Amino acid sequence: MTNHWVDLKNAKAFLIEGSNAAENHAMAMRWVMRAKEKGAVVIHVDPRFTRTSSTADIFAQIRPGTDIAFLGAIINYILQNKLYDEPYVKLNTNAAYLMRSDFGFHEGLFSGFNEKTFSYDTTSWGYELGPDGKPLKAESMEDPRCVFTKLKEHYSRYTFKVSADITGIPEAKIKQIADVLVKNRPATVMYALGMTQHTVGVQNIRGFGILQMLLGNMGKPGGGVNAMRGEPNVQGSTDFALLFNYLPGYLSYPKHTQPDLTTWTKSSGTFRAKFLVNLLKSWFGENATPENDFGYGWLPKINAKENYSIFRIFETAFEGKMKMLHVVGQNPMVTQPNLNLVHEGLTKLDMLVVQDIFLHETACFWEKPGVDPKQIQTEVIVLPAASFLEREGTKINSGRLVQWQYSKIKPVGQAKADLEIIDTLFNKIRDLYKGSTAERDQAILKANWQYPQENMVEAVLKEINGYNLNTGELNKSIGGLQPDGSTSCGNWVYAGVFANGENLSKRKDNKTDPGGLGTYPKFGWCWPGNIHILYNRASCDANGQPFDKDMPLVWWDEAQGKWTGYDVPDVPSATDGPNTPNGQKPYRMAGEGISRFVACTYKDPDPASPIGLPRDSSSTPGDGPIPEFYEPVESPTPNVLHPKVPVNPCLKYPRLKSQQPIGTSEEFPYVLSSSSMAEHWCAGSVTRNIPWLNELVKETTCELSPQLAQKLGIANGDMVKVWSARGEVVVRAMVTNRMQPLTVNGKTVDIVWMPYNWSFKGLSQAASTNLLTIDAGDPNTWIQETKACLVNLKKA
Amino acid sequence: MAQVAKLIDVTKCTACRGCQVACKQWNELPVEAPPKEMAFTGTLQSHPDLAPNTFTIIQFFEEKDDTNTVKYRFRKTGCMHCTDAACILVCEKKALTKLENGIVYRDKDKCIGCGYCAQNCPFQVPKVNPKTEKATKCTLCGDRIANKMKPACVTTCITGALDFGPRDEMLKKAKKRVETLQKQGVANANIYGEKELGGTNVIYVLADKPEAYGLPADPQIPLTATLWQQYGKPIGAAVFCASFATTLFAFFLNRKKDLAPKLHHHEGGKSHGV
Repeated sequence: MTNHWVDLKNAKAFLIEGSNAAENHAMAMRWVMRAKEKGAVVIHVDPRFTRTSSTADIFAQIRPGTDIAFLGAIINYILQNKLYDEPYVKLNTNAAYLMRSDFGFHEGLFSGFNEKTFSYDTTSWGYELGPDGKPLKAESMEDPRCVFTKLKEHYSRYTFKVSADITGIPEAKIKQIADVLVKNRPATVMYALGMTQHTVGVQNIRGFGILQMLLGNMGKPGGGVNAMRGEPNVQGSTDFALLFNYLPGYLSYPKHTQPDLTTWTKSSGTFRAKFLVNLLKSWFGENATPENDFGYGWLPKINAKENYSIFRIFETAFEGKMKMLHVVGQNPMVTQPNLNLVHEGLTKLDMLVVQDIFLHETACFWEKPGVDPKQIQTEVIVLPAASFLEREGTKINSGRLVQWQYSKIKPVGQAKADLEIIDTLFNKIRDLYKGSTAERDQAILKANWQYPQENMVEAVLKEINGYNLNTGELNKSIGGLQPDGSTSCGNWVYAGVFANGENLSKRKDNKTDPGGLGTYPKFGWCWPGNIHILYNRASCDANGQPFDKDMPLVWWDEAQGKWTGYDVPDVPSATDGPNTPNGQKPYRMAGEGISRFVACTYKDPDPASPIGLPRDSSSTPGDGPIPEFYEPVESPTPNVLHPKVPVNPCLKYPRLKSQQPIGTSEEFPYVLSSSSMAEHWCAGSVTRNIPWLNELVKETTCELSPQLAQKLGIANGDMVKVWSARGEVVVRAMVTNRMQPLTVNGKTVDIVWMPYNWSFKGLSQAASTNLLTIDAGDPNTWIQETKACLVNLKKA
Repeated sequence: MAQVAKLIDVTKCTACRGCQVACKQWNELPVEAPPKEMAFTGTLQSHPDLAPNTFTIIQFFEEKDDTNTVKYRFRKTGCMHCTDAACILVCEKKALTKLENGIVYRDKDKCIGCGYCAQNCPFQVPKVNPKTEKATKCTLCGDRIANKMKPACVTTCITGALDFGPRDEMLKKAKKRVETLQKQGVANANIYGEKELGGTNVIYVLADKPEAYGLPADPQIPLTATLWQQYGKPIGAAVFCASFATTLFAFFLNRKKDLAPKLHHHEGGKSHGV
């Protein structure tokens, strides 16, 4: 979230898209209801009418995977009719920046596409640069060479008619939604996996960013682009490099093309290199010195051309190249798409270690119905883990709020806390490597790993916060981190969580709320630097005064000579006023200091670097600088915008031809969307072992429209067979008016929905939807396209 | 002691069903049946009706109007804690009484599971557990209230759909909410329970007419219950009017056969003395 949960109450309109918040992020609705009491308008855009839709003033049923066509039409309408917030756009975005003359878009492809590698050379997506290496700006946003003009040109194809044809939402409804968003500001955007689990997941979210920048809704109370993260501490997990391409704090993971710190800095910039040095000091302690690149060389490097996502784990196992897998707190035999491939992969491992609180489907993959366990040689070891109620530690919510959770309950049986298991394992492994001089073993031997058995969790949090290594004091803020190795920090965005020796995540002051905006600055601690609303400088005009006088958040106090307010101001320096360059960097994390409509490639020069290293390097999605609509891999219709480039051109699918067939709409005429639900979460490893929850929802169902049910002779409650190019299941049909057929490009398209939370273990067992779903992934993040694939259906 | 009330604002309910689970947790109620034995209700509704071990459920109402607009309504169902309570009128053993604070209290030890309360409740709330031979229903968490806590369902409700407090305050709140809703265009917003059955201690804010939520528009104490109270109970089994009494009892006895809840009951987990 750029904003936070409580801030939802400040919104005047909600665009809830690709999220069933009432079910999957139920707590969100507390704040949505508060805003509704004050008259806020709720818009819900989703493939089916859900419990969230029941709270909405406007519901738009959208065909899965067509969100960019929907958002594109609203963006176009705002641009063509000049409904954008002009002062905001001028001040806070790259609208007036001049783009390179060789940038272009033609027939579904941006300039620089390489058809052999399915990738772009992104050079032409850059700015025209001045002699100082800084972008050149046009006199006006109407200049034909500037970003704003390129944006207008790009979306001019997205008329309401085109959008309606692609999405299935009536033209009038799209316009109605656009008008509501224009008239009710600030509006907030709430989204979840319904937006991200697509082969255009990153571009979907960029679409939200562009919309909110145009409306002037970013950095303000009641605005923002708000990702609602998963229940099992997903925010915390990604902060700490759960994703394969990151180090903690979203620092880029070293590649084989970056053998030393200098080459890494060339692509990531000096600003982040400082944080990497602090991380290395935290990991390698005194062994990390300026002379040895702070131990950078000890980190294993990933092959820049390889994909290390979770898909490749099972594919590599399938190919016989992976010997052992250690799965912690995850049940991929339920949650991964194309489950038959996952199972095949697991059967080829020598050893599988599963660390979890229940004997779930992954731990017992050899019990899969129809499989002969004797034919499987994989040795499986289970490490019983303590549940979240039986261990202390921090949890981070979607609003980046770090909260301490206490526990006085002892783990059941032989179960141990994950941290204790990992600590024991690491110490054993280090003992086994003792005396090795091999370079590859040094990361383990040189690691600064000695934690007290008492209060181990808090010791780790201190290490994450980091120290001034000269004084031994805990860091107070990110600002105190040094590039020379005199400070350490395990995750730079968390610097300050232990400021002045106090564990700030333990704070529970839910009374102090200056300004009444729901900031509660003394409740827990929010990263970074207790800033609750990111980019909040953008809520002020050029002079540092709030645009919205009714909801001031931060401002420049001339008398005091500093930025102040009800939230921590998100500025490079609290004392650098609006008349300094630092006082005009509302999006300080970007090299340009402003936000990008077009995600131009740009390296911000660092005047302090003697060897010409950049200060910052923009993160541009590899599959395009402007969101463009592409059909899902399995789609019921051609791409009317560019039939020759129907799907994301950077997509590499199938990766394993024999295991990844693509279904056609002739064989599989119906669109399947899948998701979780209020009563059962994720793999259901926990929820399906709670009788009270099984009583609420007991099995996988397939929701379909009465029209489709009638066509296929299916009655409500009948068992139906659902099959895709990858697998088949038999489940109960739920015939409901909440599902309606859509008219797409002139034809009727039927959509069905299934929850994915079931499988063959636990107190509640039913068919796995993920036997059907497709394992194509977004080329940037490799998230799966489980929100849209094709299936067929008949009465079982 | 002042009257208390639970306020259920259906316009804020998202049917997350935290209340259903919290109720079971606080009252230590087992599930009605394991997953494989639970009947499919046709919608996401968990149980077809209230059941001996299920004091509250969210009822789901799905319909589509002429403009193809889907209406998806939810109502938390349970004991209304009526002032003119039919169940109390017909309870032969005086197991059911109206407490000063408004709660319709069931004394477990006095209840013989005759099921008259179940037959006569205008909302079909009490259910008889055939194993324990006791009628059960929402207690309004009298044990919690006595300890200055709110009912379990209210404490767990995240959207603010449930509230609890002095009845006059809840009524005031309900009126204000209806006013706001009407201003926001919900023309049919109304309060249910203010006057119904002498005023109930569970009050609803509804967005539409009561029938849309499965509530009787004008709930009444059944005639049989009134007759029973006025004539049957004082005399008990003594002859009042042989023909009439026979007819009356025959009616009750026949009805009692139908009391077996629609669900297949299962004592999951520990036995429970409700």
